Amino acid sequence: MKAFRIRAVVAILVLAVILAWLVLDQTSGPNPVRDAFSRIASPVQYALKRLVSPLQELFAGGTHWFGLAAENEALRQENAELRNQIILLHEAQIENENYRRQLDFKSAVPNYRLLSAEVIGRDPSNLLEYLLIDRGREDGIAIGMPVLTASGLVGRISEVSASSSKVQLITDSASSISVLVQRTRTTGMVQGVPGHSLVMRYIPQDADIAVGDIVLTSGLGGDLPKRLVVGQISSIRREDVDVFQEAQVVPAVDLSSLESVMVLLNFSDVSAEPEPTATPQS
Amino acid sequence: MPIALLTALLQSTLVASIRLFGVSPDLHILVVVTWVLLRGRREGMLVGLIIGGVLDALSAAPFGTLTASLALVGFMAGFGEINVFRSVRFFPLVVMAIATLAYYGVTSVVIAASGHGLVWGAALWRTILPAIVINTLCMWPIYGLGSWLARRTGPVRAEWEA
Repeated sequence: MKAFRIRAVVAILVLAVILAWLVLDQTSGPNPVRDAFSRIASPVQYALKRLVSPLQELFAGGTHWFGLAAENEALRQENAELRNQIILLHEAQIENENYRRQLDFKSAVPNYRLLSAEVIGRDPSNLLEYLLIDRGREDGIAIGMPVLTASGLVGRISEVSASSSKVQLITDSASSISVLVQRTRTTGMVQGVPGHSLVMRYIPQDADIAVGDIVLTSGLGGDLPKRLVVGQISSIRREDVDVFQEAQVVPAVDLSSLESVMVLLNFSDVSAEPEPTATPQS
Repeated sequence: MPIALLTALLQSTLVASIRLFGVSPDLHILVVVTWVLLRGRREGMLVGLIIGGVLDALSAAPFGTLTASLALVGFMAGFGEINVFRSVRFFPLVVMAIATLAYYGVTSVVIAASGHGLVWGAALWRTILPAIVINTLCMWPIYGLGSWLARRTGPVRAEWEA
């Protein structure tokens, strides 16, 4: 009976508290019970949140880990492909610029029938300066045809096979070209020197030549057309005891990094036609 | 055989476009000398003949010049096999320098004899001497790589340690 009374009192008290809570909650003013509870609970909630938060992230990440390796690999692959595309685009840009220069040159010299060719190899011996190009007899190439770029003369065809040809560079020690100095029309011979350089010989002692003068083909001898740029004088050697002066000539074309060239197919006809007046632009 | 062919093709494409002091490293000489020192004269000369044959087809030099020169290089480098200085660390470099000189000596004479103009002074100062220096310097990594490959692919030759 006593226990029943106690339970009844407790139940009445609980109901009274709930009723009071509801009444207080409905009023517009602050709920002091809620406020008191909040003051106690907030720090505990905050601490618990700080404690649980990393664990939550870890758990959320853990479910994602299974896909990370595959995603990483896919991204790596995509990155490699994009890098490759950038390299190819850069190559295409360089090739495009090269072709544009060749095209400009072709339009500057309409009398020249030029055939573009790619450099596919070089002479394996350091003593010889030759190139191997991917055009041959089947493309109409013949021995002796001049080979050039938009910057100037490269050399001459020395050997032809069905689909490739060898080009003797102007810097080969057996190469000899009849030239003239553009400013003063002084003539001489340009010969190749090992190490991609040129020397102009047989310049008369009294001839007016200076460092920086442009050297062009003279056309004498008939083996090369006139007015192709050969190079630029870089130094002069003049000795009183010598009959002739000598000049070092820097080739107009960077022969060490050639990738494509043009072969002049109709050179033999040029002598019968009016000479083109355009000088190739470097 | 594949290494010999690869060497010849690399020499005429990639290596020939590399210029150090005005010359390209002679990968073909480096490979032949390394081969002889590691595998013996007989194998080395055979490799030299194969590489030389391919290079002759790509070169403007009279046919057979590079084959003969590389065979000679292989033969000469073979003396290194029985040399008492073999165990000295820089011995391969000395062999390389002599081999390069011999190679260029033969090719120069043949090229000049064939009527191809050769300016001897310029060839010596601007080509042969720089080539000796470059090839000798390149011998260090090439011989190291060759030794490593030889240890992995074939029987180890008995050598005196320094």
